[in-house]
Amino acid sequence: MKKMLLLLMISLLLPELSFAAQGASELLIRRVPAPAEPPYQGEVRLLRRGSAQVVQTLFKTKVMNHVIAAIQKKELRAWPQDREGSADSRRYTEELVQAYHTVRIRAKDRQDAGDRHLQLMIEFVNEGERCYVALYAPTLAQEGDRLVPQKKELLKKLPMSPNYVQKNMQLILQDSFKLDAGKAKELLQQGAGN
Amino acid sequence: MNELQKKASAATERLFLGLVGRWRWPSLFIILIVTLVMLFFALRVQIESGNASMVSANRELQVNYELFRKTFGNDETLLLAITRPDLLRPEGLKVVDRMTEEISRIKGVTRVLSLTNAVHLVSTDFGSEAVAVVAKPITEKDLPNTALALERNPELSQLLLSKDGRTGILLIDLAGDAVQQGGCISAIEALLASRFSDQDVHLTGIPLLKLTVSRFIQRDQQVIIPFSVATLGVLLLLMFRRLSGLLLPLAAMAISLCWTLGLYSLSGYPLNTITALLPPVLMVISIATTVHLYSGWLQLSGRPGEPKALLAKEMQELFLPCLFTAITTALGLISLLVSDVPAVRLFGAFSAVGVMLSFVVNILLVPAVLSFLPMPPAGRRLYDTGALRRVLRFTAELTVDSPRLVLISLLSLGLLALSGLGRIENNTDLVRFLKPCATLHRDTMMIDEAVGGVNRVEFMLTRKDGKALTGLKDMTRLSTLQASVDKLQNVSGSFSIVSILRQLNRAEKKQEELSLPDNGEDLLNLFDLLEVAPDQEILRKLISADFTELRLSVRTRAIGTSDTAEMVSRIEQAAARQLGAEYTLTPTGEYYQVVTDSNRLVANVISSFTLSLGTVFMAIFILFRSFKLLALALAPNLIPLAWTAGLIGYLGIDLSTGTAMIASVAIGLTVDSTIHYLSRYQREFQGDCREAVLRTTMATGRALTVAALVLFFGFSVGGLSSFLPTIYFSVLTGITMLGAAVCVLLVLPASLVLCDGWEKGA
Repeated sequence: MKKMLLLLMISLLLPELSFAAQGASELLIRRVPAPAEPPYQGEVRLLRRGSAQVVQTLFKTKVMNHVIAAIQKKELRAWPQDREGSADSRRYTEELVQAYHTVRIRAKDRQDAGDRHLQLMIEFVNEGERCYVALYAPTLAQEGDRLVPQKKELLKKLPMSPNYVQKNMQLILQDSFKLDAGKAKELLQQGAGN
Repeated sequence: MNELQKKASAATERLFLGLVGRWRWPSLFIILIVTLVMLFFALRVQIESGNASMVSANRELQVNYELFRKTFGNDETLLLAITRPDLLRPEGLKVVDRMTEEISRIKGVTRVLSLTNAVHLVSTDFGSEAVAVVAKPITEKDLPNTALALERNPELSQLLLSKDGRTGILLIDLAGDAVQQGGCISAIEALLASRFSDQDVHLTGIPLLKLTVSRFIQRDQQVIIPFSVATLGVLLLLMFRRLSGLLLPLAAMAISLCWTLGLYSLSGYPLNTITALLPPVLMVISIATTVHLYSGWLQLSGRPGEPKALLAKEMQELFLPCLFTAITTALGLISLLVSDVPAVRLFGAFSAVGVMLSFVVNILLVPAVLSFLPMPPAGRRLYDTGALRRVLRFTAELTVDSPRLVLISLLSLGLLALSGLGRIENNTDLVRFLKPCATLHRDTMMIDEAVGGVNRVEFMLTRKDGKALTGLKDMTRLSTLQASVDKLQNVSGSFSIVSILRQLNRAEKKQEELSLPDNGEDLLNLFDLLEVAPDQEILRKLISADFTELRLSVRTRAIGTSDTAEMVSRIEQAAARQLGAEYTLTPTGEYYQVVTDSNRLVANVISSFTLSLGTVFMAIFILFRSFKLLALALAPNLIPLAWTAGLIGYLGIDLSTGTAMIASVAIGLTVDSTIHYLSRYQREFQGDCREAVLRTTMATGRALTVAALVLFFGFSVGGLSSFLPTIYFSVLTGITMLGAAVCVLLVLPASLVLCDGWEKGA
């Protein structure tokens, strides 16, 4: 019985422990609040997680529907139908909308103290040959212009073509850090530890 | 004569014997030193660059306005209108765009909103989006979209475009205080003159009004003072025909002015629209005193005795009447201290100080200077013989022979004039303070005509429970109130956050009609969107960051404060009906302060006039210690005021800051003639009233007429001012002075004769 209880406790703590372990193995290369001027709606971070490059976007906003719409718009512009990677883009935006609905429904269910903020985390991960996009329902704490992830729950992991993921990572960095394509590539290389 | 009077008489005798004898050099030296010191400060007097002194020190109003400015920022915007027949064609829009760009680059301009940088909200597949009303580059093919955008956003169109589509408005926000704003406006004017001289442009707005007022004050000082000196000089030459008769009054006037302006400057006050009147007013009041002293000296002509002793005696005789006329004039002016408007209070205080200083200057200077001159030879002088003498003789005989006729005629005229009182309206219109030919007046009227309103009355809406105004009920009620407000006469439109929410809702819901959401959740979503909108600066002008305070801006036509006050009252009534008891709607803003101040003028006028009347007549009683003389002094002083009031009413002149001061200033001055007349009458009366009246009128009539003419012409020079209230004040006060002279020479002697008859009959 005692063993059973111990196992149960371990299983409950496991996600927290793994999140803490992951945080410890992450190296934050650069971050920027989004948008650059308040009121901030999120944060874009370039991380190195082991050998993987990660472009992480955290959102804590009351206008998540407009944020999603803006991402859809950018995706459509960057990945028009006839371009290679457009299928990945479409899949990503569809899953993003789904993730938005999930966090929205969950927020409605817990509607605490009238806080209308919704939270979402998007990660573009490049592990060389293995590239994917992960969508999380996180718990984020606002500290000034920083968002500090405290918990995250994986909602969807979408394996994608390296071309799509790498290009999108570069576009996000370009857009968020106000860089030209060359500088964004250089920054991305830093994320890879090169 | 009691012991005190004897002592006082001995003291004044010693004073004047000293002033014409051994003290004359020291007194002249002291005057010179003090004048040089005061001149140093007088030349450094500043000009007010704002209109802060024209706004009352009402604490509640100020607190509301401070809160409003803290929450929503500055409500003083410049309006630049550009009129072109092809305004909505690419050529016209390109000019507007260039103008917008170039003005935006001027240091101190924080924002320019025009047709070519305005945005409106449209629906897209990704939600609402802000899109430029005029697409860039400006081409022919995008014009239909611009036309559609303007049609779909009537509130924006009303703000930036005239109904005929030929006049576009640029709303220019300026940073900094009035001085910095003044510099910025000058830069805009220079830009318009150099780069857009071929365009039909008009500029208005409260910052420009402040700058214009400041420029006009400077201009008036440069024009009125020299002109006043020239006019008074010509008048003195005509009346006295002697160099000393010209130079002595002018010197006394200049010294008095120097001392007063030096003191004003030392006290740290800048000249404003009202205190700019100090120099011309003090100049004429100072000369009036000198005229009495100098006339007294002229009357010594041919009298036997030692010249200095005669001069000292004459000055001693005139000392008390001159002191009391100075006191009564000062009391009349001091009564302006009850005014709520700081500029009026300053004028009252410093002009009263100036009058007393002028008395001191005259008493020290005139006898000392006259003691150096030989006794005036007996001879022909304009005021002594000829036309004036005949007129005075006729007047004196008329009052003695037909006192009833004189009294009944002039009292009837007074009663007739009083019927005009009812026509006087309490109304202040800052733009109409300027002459119709003034550029700002013309431009403001043109813009008002084109876009239907240049003035804005601001309101702050809050919930009494302090909660955020984000509920559907809050917005629906405000929307209903706005609809009622828009229907009011003289309202050309209103603007609030509701206007933005309606646009946003239409774009979000992909609707055709402008409307508010039909449920609270959707409305909260709209507020969420507003919270993250990129241009927070504009939103902060409409709603506070925590959504608890909201601004309702009501645009009105260029109407006066009287109509605006009525309009505000109607809006408040509508708010009470439509918003209910849960909300507070507070009127505020720069323009509303002017409106409120104007409405308090009447109360101020009544209390100021009552105070001056009371104190002035108390001074008369102290001087003559006779209820009979006090009662007789009432009619000749009140009748000219009634005439002026009637004139104001029948000419349709509004009661404003300037005209409201007339009664208080005039009563202190009109009573001077009465004091001089009654003083002389007491000296001349030796049992026969008719004889005393004849002699008094002949003796004082000359000085009274000259003084009245000096006051009339001196004040009338103010007619050259750039401000209508100043013109009205100057000309009407001058007319009152003439009326006062007529009444003192007719009503007062007639009353004395009648009263004497009644006493004898009794």
